[in-house]
Amino acid sequence: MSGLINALNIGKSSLLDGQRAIEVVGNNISNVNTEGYSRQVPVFTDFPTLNMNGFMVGRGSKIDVLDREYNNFLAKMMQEKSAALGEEDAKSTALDEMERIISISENGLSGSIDNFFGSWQDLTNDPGSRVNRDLVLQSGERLVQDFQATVSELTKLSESMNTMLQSRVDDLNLSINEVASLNLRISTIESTGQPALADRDKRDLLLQKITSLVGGTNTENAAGMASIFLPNGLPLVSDATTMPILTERVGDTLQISLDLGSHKYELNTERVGGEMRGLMYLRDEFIPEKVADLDKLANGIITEVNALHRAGTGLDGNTDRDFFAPLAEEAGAAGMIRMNLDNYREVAAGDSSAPGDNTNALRLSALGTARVMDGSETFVGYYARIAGDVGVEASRNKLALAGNRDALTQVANLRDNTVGVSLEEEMISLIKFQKSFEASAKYLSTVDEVMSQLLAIRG
Amino acid sequence: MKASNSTTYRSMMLFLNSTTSKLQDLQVATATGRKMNAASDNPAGVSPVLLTRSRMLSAENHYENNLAAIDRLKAQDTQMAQAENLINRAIELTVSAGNGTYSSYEREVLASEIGDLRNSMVSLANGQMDGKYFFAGFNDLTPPFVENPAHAGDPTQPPMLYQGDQGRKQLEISPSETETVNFTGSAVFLGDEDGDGVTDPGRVDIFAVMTGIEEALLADDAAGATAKLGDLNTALEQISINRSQMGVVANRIDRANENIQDMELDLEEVLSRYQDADLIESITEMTQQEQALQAAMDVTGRLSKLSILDYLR
Repeated sequence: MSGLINALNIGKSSLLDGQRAIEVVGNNISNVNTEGYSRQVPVFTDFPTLNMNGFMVGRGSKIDVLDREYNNFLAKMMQEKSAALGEEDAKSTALDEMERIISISENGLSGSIDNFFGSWQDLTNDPGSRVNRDLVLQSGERLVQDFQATVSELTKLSESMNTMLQSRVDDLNLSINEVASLNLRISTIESTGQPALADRDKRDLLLQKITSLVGGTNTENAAGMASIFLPNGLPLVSDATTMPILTERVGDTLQISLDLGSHKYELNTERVGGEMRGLMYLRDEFIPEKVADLDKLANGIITEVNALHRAGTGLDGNTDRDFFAPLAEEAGAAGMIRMNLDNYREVAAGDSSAPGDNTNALRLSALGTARVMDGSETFVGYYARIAGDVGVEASRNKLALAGNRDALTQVANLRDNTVGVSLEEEMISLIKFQKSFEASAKYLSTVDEVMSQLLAIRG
Repeated sequence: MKASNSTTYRSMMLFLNSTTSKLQDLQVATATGRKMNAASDNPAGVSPVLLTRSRMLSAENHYENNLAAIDRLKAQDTQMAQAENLINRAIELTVSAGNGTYSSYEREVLASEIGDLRNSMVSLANGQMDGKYFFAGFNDLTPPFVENPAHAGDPTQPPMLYQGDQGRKQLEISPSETETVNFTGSAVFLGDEDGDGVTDPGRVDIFAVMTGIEEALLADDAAGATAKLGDLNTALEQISINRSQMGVVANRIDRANENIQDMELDLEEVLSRYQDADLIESITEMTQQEQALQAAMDVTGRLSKLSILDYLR
């Protein structure tokens, strides 16, 4: 009798297992579009055998644990590619914008420089003409405005980097707190011997997001707690403790620091990676470099034009007059360039005040093609180098972006193909579990028949 | 390995996206005719493009300036041709004044005609274009020649005074050449090339010569008038030398402009090589991309029709 009851138990366990397995398939199917979801697999084990009247009899099966398909290598690869992609991605919009600001179109700054020296060239033809003299003043004014607009747009761009950094920091602080609380949950759940499937998926996704934001590495300890480190080793999350990232406005820039309690570390391009590094690089290195180049160009134009202009004489007979307002230093020149003249009579076209004297206008017109910047480049040539630098950086960024995006896609495909959900696979599992469920049912009814026959004999 | 759903759809999406974005780039290039819209499209091309544009603008300015200079030289040439006619007429009149049968009245008539010629010569010397006097040097807003009031009292004083200066206007006619494009009134009419206020040897003060003849005729001094015939011939020579110099300058500027036009074509070509999209190429590529897009869409359609669910049960 005990044998038949055991047989019934075996049938029961197999029916329940079949049901749970189908539930697992159902869960996999419903998560087919969940980002970062790792396919779950029921792990069947048999019950320990029992010695029954000298026979070793099995007692059916059980689903021991639900396993999560996982590939550590692919997860790390995803994080690594995300950091590289994040850095380039953060730069891409700003670089596009810089390309627009430091433009190569006819209407850009190079056009204004050409136009300015072109107006002196026109003046050589008819130096006494008020129209031509006014044109020189106007083209000087346009040059001044273009310099100022370029610098002010670059400053605005720099400022928008601050705003973007602030939102990254907010996001990062939220994410590391979430990782710390997930750390606690995972270690609590897993201490009972159950894997914390969904929580680990969620944490993996967060870790990937954090590396994309700030780069760095992470490790997991035996209790299943993850620790996160910045690229140069400063800790962000250590088990259940987080190190908050603080921001503070210092002048024009947003200073970001990591609070380790005992000490605050200022975060710069060497201490972070990912999107934050991309943004900081532009804000702290690339944009200031270009602004300094523009300052040098503006200062070159101011100094050279003024030197020639001072040597000439205006229609009013005055000499020794600056064309642009003279500046004390090169720094900030592009933003501070101003006209000094406002009257056409002050334009020093000649060496004398005679209206037909074009001697000085000839010299100023020739300055446009003179290689005066660093002794080797013309003004437009120097500008072309600045615009070219931005172009090189932007095109390198486009290539790197496309490359990293492709790489990340490939790794993501690899990951999804290894641990993700395939509907075909799930359908086949579904049929498999359905068949075994059917067989268990059939088995139970057979045992039932056997039992009724047995009972009939007794009765 | 299996193909999971997210991979399948991600791949389809990526392929469709990349094909449409390539197609869009080509459409922009074809529609605008430009393949270099930002520095990053061809960073190495930035310098050549900007410098070429700079040279083109400068070439255009040279061209326009040269045209204006040629116009002015042509106008001056017309003035000089008239001056030659005036002197020729004065020579005829002075020769006829030597005719012994002329009465003093007839010489007076001749004198007044010479006086008219002299006045015409003064207005030629004070010729202007757009309010700028041709022969005034840099001082081109003031008439270069005025009557000398001292002459009435002292005939040894020159009849006309030069108010202009010795400014010679240089013009850059091409990136490498400059040319002097004006002639000072003192050189052309007073025979004073170096501007020291004294007529150079072998040259004459044309106004003094003509006034001298007029005054001699008024004084009925036929011999005195004909004695100045040599000076009149020198005056003719002086005008025509200057005129031929103007011709030489105008020719040089003309030639410079021809070179500039050739250069502009070359520069256009350089610019076009960097900037302009090859329409045939971009349209062909566009057709290719369109086909790729069709193929991608076709595959997408097939993939979404294909399902294991259709084959179960």
